[in-house]
Amino acid sequence: MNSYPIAEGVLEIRAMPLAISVALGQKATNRLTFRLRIAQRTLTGNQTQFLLLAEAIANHIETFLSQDSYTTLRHHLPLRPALSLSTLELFDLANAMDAWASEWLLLPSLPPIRRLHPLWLLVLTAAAVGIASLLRPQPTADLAPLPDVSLLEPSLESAPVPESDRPATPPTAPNLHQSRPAARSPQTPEKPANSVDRAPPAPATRPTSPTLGASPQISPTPPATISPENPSNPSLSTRSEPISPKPINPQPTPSAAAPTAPQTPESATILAAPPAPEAAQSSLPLTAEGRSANLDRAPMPWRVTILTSDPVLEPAQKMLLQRAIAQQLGTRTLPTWLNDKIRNQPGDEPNGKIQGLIGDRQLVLGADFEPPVIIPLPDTLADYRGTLTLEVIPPQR
Amino acid sequence: MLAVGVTGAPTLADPQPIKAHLDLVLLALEAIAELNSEAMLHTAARLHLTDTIGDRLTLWRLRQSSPLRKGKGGRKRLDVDEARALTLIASELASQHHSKIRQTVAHLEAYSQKGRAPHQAPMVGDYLDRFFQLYEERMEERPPEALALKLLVDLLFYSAPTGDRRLWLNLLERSSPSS
Repeated sequence: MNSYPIAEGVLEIRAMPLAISVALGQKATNRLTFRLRIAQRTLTGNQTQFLLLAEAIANHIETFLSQDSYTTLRHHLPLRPALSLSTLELFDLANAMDAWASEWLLLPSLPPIRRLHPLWLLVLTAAAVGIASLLRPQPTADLAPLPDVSLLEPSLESAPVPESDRPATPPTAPNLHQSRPAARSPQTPEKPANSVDRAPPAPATRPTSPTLGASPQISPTPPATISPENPSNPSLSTRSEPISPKPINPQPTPSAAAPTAPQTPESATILAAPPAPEAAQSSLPLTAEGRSANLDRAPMPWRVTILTSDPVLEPAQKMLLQRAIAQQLGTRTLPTWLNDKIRNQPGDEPNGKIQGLIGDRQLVLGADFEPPVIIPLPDTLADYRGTLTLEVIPPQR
Repeated sequence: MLAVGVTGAPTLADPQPIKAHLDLVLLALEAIAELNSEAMLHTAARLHLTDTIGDRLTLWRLRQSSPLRKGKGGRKRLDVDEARALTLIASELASQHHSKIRQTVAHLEAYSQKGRAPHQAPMVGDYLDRFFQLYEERMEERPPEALALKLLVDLLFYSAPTGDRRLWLNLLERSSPSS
């Protein structure tokens, strides 16, 4: 569990690392709960609500900074229940979430695999055979299963991680976005201002996380939960336990129907299901203003295709990498003009192809991403000598 | 929005708001931390930005390019590299003086909650005095108090580990045609 002190409060985040963390070189999770104690209140939530909170905070700060004056130093976030923060609380909370995200990669939750009793399986199989014989056979294409990433880590999806599998030492630092440290350290800005629209250099050192060992005091007031369950009637829940994430119902999106790059035996396309669509379906905002803002800014699925010149990569490894990249992109809030730039980049291949650069076990996606998208490479890719091309197609808006 | 200038150096499509905001942020830093141009040049050297901002004259001409300034001796153009360098310097200085900025904002919040005038808080009052003095020396008009206080709160967010990114995105937002 990570604890971050907030002005007169604390943010606690519990996350269970997935096995893929080793391959990614970064802690990854798709199961998270958090507890925010602030100003005599306690808010709890799951991964969906965490993302909602993070997005609401980021949007609010961006809007606040773009104004030339303010009317109040209280900051009202468009959430249910309403969350009102002082400036220092807002600042600390944003830093805490940035710190956590710099250390962890948040992957989308997938529906748990339901294990059926063998007897039920027999009954269902018999029923299915009977029904199938009465119906016209369906085209094979309709029955072809989509790549199900959950199959790669079923136990993590369906069973809790044993205590022994949890990291022995608490995380020490962060990264939702690239932070300034690079500029802070003397060795970083060797190329001080070369790139055009890239933000200040990436951090050379990670900020020290204010991790606390002691559990915070539990507020006597019943914890409130940011409810994502009923967007049409968002209300404050008084449950003390966090709501478990709801399964994602895959729905076709415009981008799914869009033409894709020619598939080769060495290529595979995944459509990442980033957290935002899940959030948009099941939750929030709450006020009309908030809903509008979130719909406009919610990360939509990015499609990432990896094309390799040599079939060195294991398909599963490649798919996981694609998923990681799509997730990285999906959690970003890119300005519209940058989206357009990616889609119509003059110097790039059609459809916004961006060349991947390999070096030092990191994959850097084009200079137009702000901040730069830097993704740790799995071991099998770090030594890869062939040509690797990424096709990155931004969300259809 | 970014474009490529005649010389090949990337320039900002509408640099006026960026010039003005960067100069104001640096001015607020001067007021809160009692800095001078030497501190900025020292920070530029620490950040290896001397190719862009190497001496006092260059710094003065860049800051003088703000449309709010009295004088007309500043640069008319602002390269992206120059804007980025000033961004890094501002956020680095804000980070160095984070404690004082935070303390001042805390006083500002406390007095606001009590319904008292911000300038009655000693730290805020000192900041406002210095800000107005510097502003009136360099700009055409006396600024509203709200602007000085807003810049103070902005500095808090720019002093975070991701402060340079926040400031940079804010500048891009200000230069985009839609803003």
